[in-house]
Amino acid sequence: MVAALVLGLIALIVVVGVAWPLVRPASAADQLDPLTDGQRRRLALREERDLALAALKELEVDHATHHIGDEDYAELVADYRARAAEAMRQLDAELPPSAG
Amino acid sequence: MALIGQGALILALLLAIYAAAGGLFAGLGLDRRFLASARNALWGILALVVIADAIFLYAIFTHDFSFTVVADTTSRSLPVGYMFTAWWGSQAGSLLLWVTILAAFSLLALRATRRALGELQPWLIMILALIGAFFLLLLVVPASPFVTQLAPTDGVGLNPSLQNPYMAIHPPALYLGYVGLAIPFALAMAALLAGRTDSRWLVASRRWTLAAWGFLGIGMLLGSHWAYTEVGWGGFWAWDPVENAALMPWLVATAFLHSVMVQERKGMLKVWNLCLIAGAFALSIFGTFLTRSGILSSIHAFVSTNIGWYFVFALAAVLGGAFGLSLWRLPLLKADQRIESLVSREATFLFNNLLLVGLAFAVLWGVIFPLLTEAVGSVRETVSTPFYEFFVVTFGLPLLLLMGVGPLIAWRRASLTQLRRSFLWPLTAGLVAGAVMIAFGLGSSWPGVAAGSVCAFVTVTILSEFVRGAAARRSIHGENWLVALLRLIGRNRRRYGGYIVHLGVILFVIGAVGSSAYETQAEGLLEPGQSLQVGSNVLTFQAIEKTRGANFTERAAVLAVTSDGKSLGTLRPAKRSYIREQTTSNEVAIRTTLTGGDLFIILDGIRGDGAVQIKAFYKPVVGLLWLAGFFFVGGVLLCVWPDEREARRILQRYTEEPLPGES
Amino acid sequence: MSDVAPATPEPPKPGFRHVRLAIALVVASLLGTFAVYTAFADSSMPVLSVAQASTGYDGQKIRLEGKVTKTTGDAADPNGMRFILQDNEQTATMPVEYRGAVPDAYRVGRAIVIDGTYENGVFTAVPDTLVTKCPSKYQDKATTSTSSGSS
Repeated sequence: MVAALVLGLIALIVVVGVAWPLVRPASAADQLDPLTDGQRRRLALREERDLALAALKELEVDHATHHIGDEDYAELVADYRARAAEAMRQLDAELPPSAG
Repeated sequence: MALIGQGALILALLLAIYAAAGGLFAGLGLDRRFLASARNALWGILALVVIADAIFLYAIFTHDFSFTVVADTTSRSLPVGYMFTAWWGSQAGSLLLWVTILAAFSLLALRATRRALGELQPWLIMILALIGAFFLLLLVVPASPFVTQLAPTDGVGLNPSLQNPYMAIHPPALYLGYVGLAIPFALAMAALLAGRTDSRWLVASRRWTLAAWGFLGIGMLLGSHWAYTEVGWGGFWAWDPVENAALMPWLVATAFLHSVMVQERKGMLKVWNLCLIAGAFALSIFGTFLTRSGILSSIHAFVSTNIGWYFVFALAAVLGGAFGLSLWRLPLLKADQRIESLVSREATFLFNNLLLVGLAFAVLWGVIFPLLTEAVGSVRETVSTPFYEFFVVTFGLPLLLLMGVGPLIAWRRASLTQLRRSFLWPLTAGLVAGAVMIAFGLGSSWPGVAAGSVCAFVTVTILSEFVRGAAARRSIHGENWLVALLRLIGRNRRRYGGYIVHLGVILFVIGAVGSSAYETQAEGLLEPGQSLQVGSNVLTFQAIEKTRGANFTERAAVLAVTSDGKSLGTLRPAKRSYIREQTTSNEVAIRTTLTGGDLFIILDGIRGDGAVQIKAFYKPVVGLLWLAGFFFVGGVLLCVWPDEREARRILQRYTEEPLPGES
Repeated sequence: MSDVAPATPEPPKPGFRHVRLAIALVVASLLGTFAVYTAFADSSMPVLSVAQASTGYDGQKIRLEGKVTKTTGDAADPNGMRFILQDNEQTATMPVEYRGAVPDAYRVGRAIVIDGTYENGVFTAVPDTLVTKCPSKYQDKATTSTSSGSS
């Protein structure tokens, strides 16, 4: 009997806690809207840019520690620079935060 | 009491089902308030499970033997310290622990991904709630800790193997690892469901995988140490299915931790990484299942244990779900780039992955071999240690070699002249080490020499990485050596943390190979005054000593140890008889030398007339196994430690423009 | 995501073909090693009950399962110990000769597993292979190996 009462009390608390957000007025605290296509595209571009920049940094370390030779270094640096620049150019071309 | 506990679990199960549905609704965008409600439901689950834990522990500590599980795993004479161990001494208790950890981890994961992965939250809640619902269902129906009976006057006691300090931390560490692998899985599935395939979720799951992997590794090491010092047959790993259960997800997670770097840098191996995450989690469920069911003794045992089908269903759901979702999102998982050269770091990571997964597969094959053979033929067949050792050596040696090759090769491609420069010293070191080992008479074991020279090769590679990096910083920033080294590590924690873990692996390999390939062994029946020689040590049997503990009596053989005429004191290998549990256990005696070698003595038997059967080993460098653990933990901590620069950079990437919800 | 190509579209370079070939070769050699080893290395042995073991497995290395009914001698005895194993159905029995470590849980009535060969009416066990199966009065094995005596 006591057990049933205790259980009932616990259940009541739980139900109230879970139902509360549903009955209280809506708030905008939770991010729910899916990304728009434009946002997705820009996110990918920013990622591409960051990857290229990180790769450049790492190349520098690899070069300083003699893991890659001067020729390879020059070629790879040029390639990653071009990539980073291209990503930034495309990012600039987009007009944030326009919906895509 | 039992009623409240059972009720709390049932309520938690209902909440988990509700949370899964709420997450689904929120994810489909029907109503964002469902998200908050589902999150509260997760809090509710945690609270209810903690109530169940409290009741269960209360029953253990108050000797309430009307709880069947409590009566089956404890007794009145059980020392208080081991009452906690009784928590995971039973199937129901350990599932309860699983769910408790899962509930806590779920909330932590939600919190950690709130900002940059807000869009994933509903799906994350749904997946985690589904996993939780499965384990709660097990706890409510087939494996309830709250089944009651007419209380007997005393319980049957705890398995003496578990009455050991290691058993207080080893199983929880493994569980933290098993459960931890659920989080990367949930993140991956949530990312697929939300269509977010940028690398943000990957970064989040990398850290969780690393932590879970670290716990699994620590758990296995503690288990090995326990087996070595307590089980007492003279080894530290028996290729027991239960041990293999932890090894398999660990190997797959190791593969993921390497290949994730390729995806982060080059946007390749996306599908492969999903496979590894799903595989690691499936193996962790399989592992939980192996430990808890008698499935491996026979197919018939499997059919008769009702819990088996639940697990088969869960495995199918995990693998099928992951497969289906990946297939659905395949267009988003296209590789951004390709591997350009065989001599590149990404290629070494790829080969490392193939070897690790191959090894995991070989272990899995060994574990399920009895079931497979019984299913196709009439006779069950089993594989034993030589099978596993063959694959550990043939797949492990190349892996070890790659560990030394990888750091020397740059990303994308490396030129031959650079390679020649990089490999000169490490290769020389490897060859010299091999030659020195042979010169010192260690050529008796070819795996020993091979492992020794590969270890030297890898060690020099890794140390040269530290030196080169510090030297570069020194010349660029003008720092002194110490500052340069510390900054080098501090600014590149993942890289150098990884190297430290690699050093730990090297120590482990040296310890494992050295202690088994170069071990000396002796055994004999000794009457008082007689002695036995093992290596340079002489053991002289003096007398039998009897003592009494709280719930056992002990008979120890007192052995005087001398080496080259010098006395090294006495050792007392013993046999313990547990009164209530009606079993005996071996208490081995171990004397560790300064060089890390162990004199390891087992009391095999005591004859009626007072003679003792003694088995003694001398195991060189075995101490390195445990030293390796400290490197492992240190390296993992360094990698897991939050990197503020990285966090800031990533956050900036996601907040450069207002994301949904903020706009 | 998919519409973002790398900034400079890359034609497959000759190196890529080598990589594909090398991956295929590595996978093939791993599988090959595996297949050859499992097929030819004689790495497995049958697990048999007492009744099965006494029919047609003479001289072959097997793993035997059964319940201990009678045990004589002592592990401390240089001549080893002898015990009788019985089927769970209690129909067949087999004498066993054993030397080496005896696990903690060993005693009459316990189910055990042991490796060896059956010849001339006696099962000669490989030293140190005696393992007790988990006693039913405890729940299943705890989280880690409680096996002793193996390896």
